[in-house]
Amino acid sequence: MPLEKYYPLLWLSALIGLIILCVLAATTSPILETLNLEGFEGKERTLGFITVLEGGDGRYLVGRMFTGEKVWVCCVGCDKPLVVGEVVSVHGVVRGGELLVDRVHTHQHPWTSYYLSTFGLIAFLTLFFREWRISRRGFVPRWGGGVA
Amino acid sequence: MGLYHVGVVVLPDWVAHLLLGGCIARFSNVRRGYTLLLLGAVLPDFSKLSLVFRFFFDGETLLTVMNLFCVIHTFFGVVLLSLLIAPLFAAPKRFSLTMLLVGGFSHLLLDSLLNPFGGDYWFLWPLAKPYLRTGFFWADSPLPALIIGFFAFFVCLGPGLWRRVTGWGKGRF
Repeated sequence: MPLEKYYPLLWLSALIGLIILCVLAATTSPILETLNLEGFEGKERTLGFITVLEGGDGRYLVGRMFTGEKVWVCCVGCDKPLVVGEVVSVHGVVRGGELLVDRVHTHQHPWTSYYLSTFGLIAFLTLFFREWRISRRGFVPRWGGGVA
Repeated sequence: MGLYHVGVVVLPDWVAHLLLGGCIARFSNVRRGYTLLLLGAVLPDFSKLSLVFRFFFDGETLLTVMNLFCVIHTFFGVVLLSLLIAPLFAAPKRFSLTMLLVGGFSHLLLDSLLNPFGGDYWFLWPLAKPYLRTGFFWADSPLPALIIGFFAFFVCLGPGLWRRVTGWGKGRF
């Protein structure tokens, strides 16, 4: 089997490839964005899963749950007013260093998926260890090794 | 620009991912080792492990760490990680690899249906384009799990009923 024969080489290439991607991601931080609006003047921007921290009368300070970043957005005339304490996703155009929001989505239950995923995790682990057991050779199939 | 235009985290929905993986395994007639496909279906969400680091870092440092983990939530990340972990399983490598890849791609496909305001998922990072853009569901919406769960009920729990209703999948179960 060519795949079995050349797998060590393939594995090493995959390891090097993943390391390169990780270095690229760590140095350029391209995947997750900061809330920084600089450089987006006149462009559309979506800020997702942000918490409304304070404000009123159309101007709100919003922040990210984990990183502690904060930014002011302007919500005059948007389809739904922002409410302090809610988790929202907003979309708009950056004008004068501020995001002029035109669309708002309020996440009513932002953590529900995490809670439900716990059940998914338990179900997955149950099924997985019904099929595989851990040994010194790695994960060994309980059914003997034949596939399909 | 970025993979997630939406912010820090896209919520995981393992129930929907596992149900879709189960449906694919059922339709592929995989009876043994289907949990590898399920593993592949949740593997990209292991990037959420980076959230543990919020207890140690914040600000730009935390974003950098999270970016590091998010690599496995991309097309190339799925391929490379599947290649790396396939030898952990004492099964034919071609089988292990195929199961992990199919599961991983099903995860990316399902995630591409999410996003607010039709934003962008840069699954093909570090390639700039093309990216997937749909935006059918919000990340906290239960609809994907409900729709796939409804489908899975007929496929996995009631295959006879599924066959009678649709006439599809004859001889597969």
